[in-house]
Amino acid sequence: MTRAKRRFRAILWPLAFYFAGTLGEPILNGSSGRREFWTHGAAVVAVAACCLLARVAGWAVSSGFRRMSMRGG
Amino acid sequence: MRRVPTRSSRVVADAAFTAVVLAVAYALKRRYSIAGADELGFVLAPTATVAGALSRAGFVREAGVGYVSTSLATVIAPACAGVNFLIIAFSMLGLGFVRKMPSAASKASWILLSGAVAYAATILVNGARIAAGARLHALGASLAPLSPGAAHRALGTAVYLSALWALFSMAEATVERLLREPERTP
Repeated sequence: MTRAKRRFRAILWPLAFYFAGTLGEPILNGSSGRREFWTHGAAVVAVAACCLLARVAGWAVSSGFRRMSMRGG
Repeated sequence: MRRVPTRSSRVVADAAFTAVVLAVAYALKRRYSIAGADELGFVLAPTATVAGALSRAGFVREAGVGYVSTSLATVIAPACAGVNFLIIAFSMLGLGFVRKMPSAASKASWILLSGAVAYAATILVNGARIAAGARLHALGASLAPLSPGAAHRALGTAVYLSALWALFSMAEATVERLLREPERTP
C-alpha cells in the first residue's frame, strides 16, 4: 500500500466507524425523526470536519518539513 | 511441515472472524445501552478514578446514579460511561486488522487484544474527556457562541475522534511490526 493510501485509510477508517456509531446506529434505531438528533448530528459533523482539517494540515506541515530536510534546506 | 492456507479457507476464516467482531459489538450494544450504573461499574469505576486523578477531584459512588464529584458539580452517569466509544474502538481495531492476520490463532488473538486495548482506551480517553469537561465547566468557560452543552459535545467529539485516529495509527504500526518479524527470523 502506498503512503498516501495508508494515510487516507488511517483517516477514513476511524472516521467511518465514528460516524457509524454516533450517527448511523441512532438512525437505524429510529432517531432520524427527532429534531434534537439532527442538531446533535450537525454538531458532530462540524467538529469532525474541524478535526479532519487540523489533522490534514498537520500532515501537510510535517511532510513539508520532511521534504525540506531531505533537500538539506 | 507448515500448512499454507488456501485462498478460499482464508476468505472463510476472514468472514467468520468478521462475524465474531460484529456479533460481540452487537451484544455489547444490546447489553449495555440500557444498563444502569451498577451494571456499568466495570467502566464507570475506573473512569471515575482516572477522571478524579486528572482533575484532582474526588468522585464518590452513588448507588443507582454513578460517580459524583460535588466540587466539580459533575456526575459520571451511565450515559457518560463511554460504552459507545468502547464498541466503536473494538469494531474499528477488530475489523480493521483481523484480515491481515495470517492464521486463525493470530486472528483470534487479535480480536482479544482489540477488546483489551479498546477497554483500556475507553477508560483513559473517557476519563480525560470527563476531567477536561468538568474543568471547563468549573472555570465557567464557554466557547462563545457555543452554549456549555454544545461546548461539552464538541469536546467529546474532538477527544473521541482524535483518540480513534491515534489508536488506529498505533495498531497499524504494531501490526506491521508483528507481520514483519516472522520474515526476519531465520
